[in-house]
Amino acid sequence: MILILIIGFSAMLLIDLPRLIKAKQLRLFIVYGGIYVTAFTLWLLFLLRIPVVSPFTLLSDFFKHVLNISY
Amino acid sequence: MKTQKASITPLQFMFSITCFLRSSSLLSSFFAPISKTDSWLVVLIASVVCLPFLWAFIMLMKAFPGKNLIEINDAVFGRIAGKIISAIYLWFFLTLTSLNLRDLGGFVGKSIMLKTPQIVIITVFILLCAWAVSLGLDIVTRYSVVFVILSSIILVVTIAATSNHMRLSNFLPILRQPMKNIIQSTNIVSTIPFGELVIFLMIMPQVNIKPKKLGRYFLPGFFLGAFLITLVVARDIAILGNTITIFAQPSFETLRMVSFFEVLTHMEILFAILLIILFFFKISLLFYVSMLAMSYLFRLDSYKPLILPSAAIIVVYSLIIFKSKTKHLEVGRETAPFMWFIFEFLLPLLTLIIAYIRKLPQKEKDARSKEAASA
Repeated sequence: MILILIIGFSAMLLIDLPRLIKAKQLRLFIVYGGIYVTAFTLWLLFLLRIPVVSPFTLLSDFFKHVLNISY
Repeated sequence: MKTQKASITPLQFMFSITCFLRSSSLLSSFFAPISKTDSWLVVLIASVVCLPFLWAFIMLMKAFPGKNLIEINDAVFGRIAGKIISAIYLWFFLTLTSLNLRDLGGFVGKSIMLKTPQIVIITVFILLCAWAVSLGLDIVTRYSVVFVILSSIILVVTIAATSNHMRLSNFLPILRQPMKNIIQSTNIVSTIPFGELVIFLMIMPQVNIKPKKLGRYFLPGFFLGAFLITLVVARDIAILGNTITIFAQPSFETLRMVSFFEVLTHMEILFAILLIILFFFKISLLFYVSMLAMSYLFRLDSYKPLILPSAAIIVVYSLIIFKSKTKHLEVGRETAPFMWFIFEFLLPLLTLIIAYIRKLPQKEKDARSKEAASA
């Protein structure tokens, strides 16, 4: 599965890299890089079955158990 | 910054709103078990309760013509606070996209493609949505009229085909449920399908119409969508009665009862096809709005290079967003109405109030008049 992940992300980079180079925007490179690394990290954690905290359930639990705002 | 702006017609805009609401049919499982046979009334009450907030959306658009939500946040709250609020909205849009993608994956995986892993269904679907998003808003919204007409025809046909199973007594007595349940259900309906219309604040500047006339298309689109949802819920109650609380997909069960001359049966496949089509529209639109928000937040010329890695994040987020359907239902019924209230109603209303306190709409108007005079 990790191999499929690496192949998938490599393919993504191959598709997007020409467009990024053509755009010649450092800001775009940085933002793309940030999103790419985040996506790869999350996928790796998911495939290695390392529990990743969902911000959605975290916020929900905060509302329910800390603020006591729920039905 | 010149992020490309596609342009859509007012009619596409109106039917996009209707299609967006119509695609929330699956979400009746959040409130139907609570309000039971009063669910149809809850939808009607929620559509009235939402009106002041929809008015706030329209007022924001009129006050800041040509600006989307991210640009409005910058103008009203300042650069730093505006960026923080816009980042929170971006998370909200991505979360909505992931939630809907997970719902679709769950529905297709449990009802149609039982042996296909959910990850495959979700990945294939988001790639299709990514393709639509890369082609622009016009492509995403172009077929909204067709989808609304198709879903309305299927709705009318299924009502006619199941009329012999309907019992008007299933609606009685009206308001049987405790008031607390009615209030909870109204809150759920007003935030989960209706309040999500806040995303249209991102695309309103791209509608080919004067901002003053936006309300003439926004509100009818909303009312048509609310009416269709009411019809769907009423049909399900008329057929299923109190057993509506047992089923995860009441509409799916309703359509199992449709048969034409005892030859054509198992029409629930129609519901499945329609839902996939509507979900495609909703997820593509949410994905587009997320990408647009990202490009404005980071001041990029184009969102297109970010589509694929963002799709990867959305897929993994949809897989980790909640552990089980039970957890999703629990959050959807108990805390999401309060959480989403902040993004969908409180923040836009606060933005409008602060804008008027700072007299920003007047300053905008003066700036535009000066520009017109110098030109």
